[in-house]
Amino acid sequence: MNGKLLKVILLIAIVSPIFANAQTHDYSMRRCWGYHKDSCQVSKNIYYRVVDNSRSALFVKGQTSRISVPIYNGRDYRISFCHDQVLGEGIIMRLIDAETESTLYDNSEDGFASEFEFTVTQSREIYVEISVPGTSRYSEAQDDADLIFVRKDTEMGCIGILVEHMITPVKGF
Amino acid sequence: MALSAQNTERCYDESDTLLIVGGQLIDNDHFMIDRNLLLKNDTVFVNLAGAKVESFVFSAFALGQKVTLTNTGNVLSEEFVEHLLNKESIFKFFYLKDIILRTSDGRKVSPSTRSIKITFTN
Repeated sequence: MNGKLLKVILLIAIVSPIFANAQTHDYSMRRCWGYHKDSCQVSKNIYYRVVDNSRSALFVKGQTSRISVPIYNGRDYRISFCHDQVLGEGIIMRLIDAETESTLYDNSEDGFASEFEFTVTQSREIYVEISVPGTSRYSEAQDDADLIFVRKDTEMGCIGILVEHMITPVKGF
Repeated sequence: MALSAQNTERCYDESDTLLIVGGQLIDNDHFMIDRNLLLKNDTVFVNLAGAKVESFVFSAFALGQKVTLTNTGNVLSEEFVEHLLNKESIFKFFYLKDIILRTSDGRKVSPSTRSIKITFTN
């Protein structure tokens, strides 16, 4: 009897996190809050530390949004993103110089990679810009009057941006 | 000009794992390595009897920079190594892709791994 009970408890323990992580389309409880902490994989390099500028947000298809991140000379950064499957593939991440608006990295030239690591040789402010491909009624609406409804199950999902940094290691002797 | 692997046969032998001399076995498409383990005379080869690496493309990204080089033969070119092992190097990762192999019977084949991303831990 105890053996059966133990099996049931083990099964619940294994299955419940899977259901908890499944996409529910329920955004009533600020589901995107902390999405980058729960869903994005941190680097396997143990020297990286997560930066407070990491953010999560709710996106609709066709939307572009950016966050500002200061980067400092003498540090290596890893910027990655993760997203709900409903948003599809081909999400574009650009790193843009905040002063000149020039694009410093565009993942569409890098096979739509979801992570980018780099060394900083000059402190500056950059924007991490995320563009979700496709269209939705929200992105097509010219003004609020045009907006009738947005399908939560097929047109919107969470995106997390994870920013990690470490001191640039000395190379060579 | 980057070589295209489109017109080559694909090689799916279990033993076609790519290796880099220096003791680092690369058996998946993303690999982390200590920068100091990549040697100036490192050689890319394939663990398939009779096959030799004829060429491959190296590409690396840094903030505001992108380098793409075609490497003929299987020894890492000096230019390639200079970009990665220079003390001032700002490249944290690079790709080996479009790898072309020449089999013992003269056929051109590509390994089953299309692209390998190698990230430096330092």
